Amino acid sequence: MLMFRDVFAYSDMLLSGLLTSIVLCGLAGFAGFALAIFCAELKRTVPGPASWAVSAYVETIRNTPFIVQLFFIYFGMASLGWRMSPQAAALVALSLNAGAYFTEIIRGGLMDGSRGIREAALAQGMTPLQVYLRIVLPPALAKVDKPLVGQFVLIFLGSAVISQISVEDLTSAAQFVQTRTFRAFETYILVTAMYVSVGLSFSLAYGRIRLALFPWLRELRQ
Amino acid sequence: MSQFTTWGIVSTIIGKLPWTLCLSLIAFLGGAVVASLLTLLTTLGSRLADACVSMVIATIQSMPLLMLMFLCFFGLPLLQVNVSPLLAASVALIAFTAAFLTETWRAALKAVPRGQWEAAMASGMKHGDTLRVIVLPQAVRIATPGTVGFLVQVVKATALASIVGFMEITRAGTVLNNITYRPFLIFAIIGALYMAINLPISLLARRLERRFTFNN
Amino acid sequence: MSQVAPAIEFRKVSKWFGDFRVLSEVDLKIGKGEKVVVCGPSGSGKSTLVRCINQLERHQQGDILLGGTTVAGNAAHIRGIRRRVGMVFQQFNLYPHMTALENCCVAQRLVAWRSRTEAEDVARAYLERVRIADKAGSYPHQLSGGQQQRVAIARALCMQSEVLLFDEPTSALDPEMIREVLDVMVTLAGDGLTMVCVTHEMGFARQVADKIVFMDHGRIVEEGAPSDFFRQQKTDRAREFLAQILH
Repeated sequence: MLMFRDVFAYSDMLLSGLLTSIVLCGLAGFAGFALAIFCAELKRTVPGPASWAVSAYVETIRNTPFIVQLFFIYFGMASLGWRMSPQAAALVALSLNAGAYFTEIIRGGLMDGSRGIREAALAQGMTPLQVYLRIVLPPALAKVDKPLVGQFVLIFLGSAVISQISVEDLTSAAQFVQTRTFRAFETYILVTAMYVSVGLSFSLAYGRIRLALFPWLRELRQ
Repeated sequence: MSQFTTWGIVSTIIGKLPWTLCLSLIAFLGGAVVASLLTLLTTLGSRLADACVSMVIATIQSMPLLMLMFLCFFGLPLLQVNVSPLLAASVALIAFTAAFLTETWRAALKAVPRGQWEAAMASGMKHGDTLRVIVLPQAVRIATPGTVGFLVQVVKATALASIVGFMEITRAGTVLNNITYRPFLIFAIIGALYMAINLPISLLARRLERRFTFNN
Repeated sequence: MSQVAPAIEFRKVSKWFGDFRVLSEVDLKIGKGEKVVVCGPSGSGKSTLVRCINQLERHQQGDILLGGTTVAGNAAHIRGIRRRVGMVFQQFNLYPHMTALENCCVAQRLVAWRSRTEAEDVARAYLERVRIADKAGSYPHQLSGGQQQRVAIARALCMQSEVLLFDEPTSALDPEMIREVLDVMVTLAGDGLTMVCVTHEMGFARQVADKIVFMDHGRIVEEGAPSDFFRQQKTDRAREFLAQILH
């Protein structure tokens, strides 16, 4: 029989682990988003080495496992003399990971249909930065916001791996509880449920605030 | 103090490459078989079966893959199954793959226009024949880029098997790192190996996708 | 005669797309307040001609002067030129995420540094001018093509530039909406603005143009008053072109 009582005794610990997971992923989400906004436009507008560098970054991240990226940043960088706390390394790895996936998604949104408004804005005398941030980016984001949110949730779920460099996240809390209670299966069922419900709640919550972020979609007939 | 030269490290890691490939293949083929069955189940027209399949897919896709692996690793023994890391990882990865492929393939079947079914049935073809001769070939074309692209996700996902103790290249890396402490070299090599496997697949998937979009 | 610099002057302007020469040694003077209609078969370079004035396309040879200053230069110089030239596009190109009012305000705020209230006052005045003030709060996708193009005209007017360029402003419109846009343009023509308009609407040309420029293969083939142009074409190309679009 499954016995959850022993596991519930550690609920404070699990919740604090969950909080760590959420905070790290939230920060990484913002950092990755900022990075992606920059990279997506860089790749589109600056041909040559800058664009190649963005491609190399995006392809490297997308074609290697997150855990290897994490180990490379935490252990590899330290061996070069750039020592980071586990939390900092996790934050850097999660941000770089999010940045690469977000770059591709945002580029998809920028691709079609932005030429005309870009030209109109340039013809009005706006600077390229104004054109991008004020005119081209908002409608592009509105087109790809759901994939972006989906990807963010995937990154949150994938963040379970940061327990492997001893960040005290939800998974690492689970591993601790499991060794104390000998109730591994129950612990992981509970923790899985926590991951699932946070991920789903985030998607649902986003669905509710979506129209506040993009008010012009309100009356758009599909 | 360590007997590992640079070349020793490289060859040890490459020596474990077959296990990464092997696990990827198990996951992909196993997942494809399960996904075929589930997809077939949903073409039979039972609402209940359809809803159940959707539920299972949604559940698997909304949980961390690592948790799925832990649940297999610690849950299967409760069913009196003797669990090796390879078995636990395989089961979890097959479930993960099956969920994605079922979703992709179902969507591909739905993307074939309703009129194709109607035209074939109107000409007197049976349900099964219509599916096999008319609808499937079109659905396969739609599903191919996504399926090929997912292979990259599978190869990357096998790295998580290292956490439950399966000795593939990432596991080899963590072990070697503990012995030699040359993490920069070790994880760069491992990253490069994953790139070498995945980049060609990614490029192929993108090409297939572009060809598909042009033809439509 | 006083020496007033023309509003726009082309001096032996040439431009290539790769090997293809889109403009060859174009010479053209447009006086202040003049209304010029540019016409010609597709691929004749008429859009390119207009787009070179605000440097959406860069020319490679010759010189284009706006009120006496050359338009070519670094990015900041070109932004200064664009500040003085308004443009209306075939596809309207309204910013999809902004209301009609916001479409009219954004460049006033970002480029002309006007305050929010000033920008909104100006915007409302011009939306009134193009008879669409009641749609100030609507998003582009809620407006018909004709309404969108009128908002686009108001947006261009808000910058209070010296010159207004129209690049086939009615070509993307359904026939029943062309009239409402042309009516607005006719009203504007009475205002003393310098207007350069690429269009096939010969009725409009006859009604408001001071000068018609006919282009073919990147050259200006004919140039003159509409009355002369419509009565007697000097070239076969122009005769064929007119015969085609008038029937």
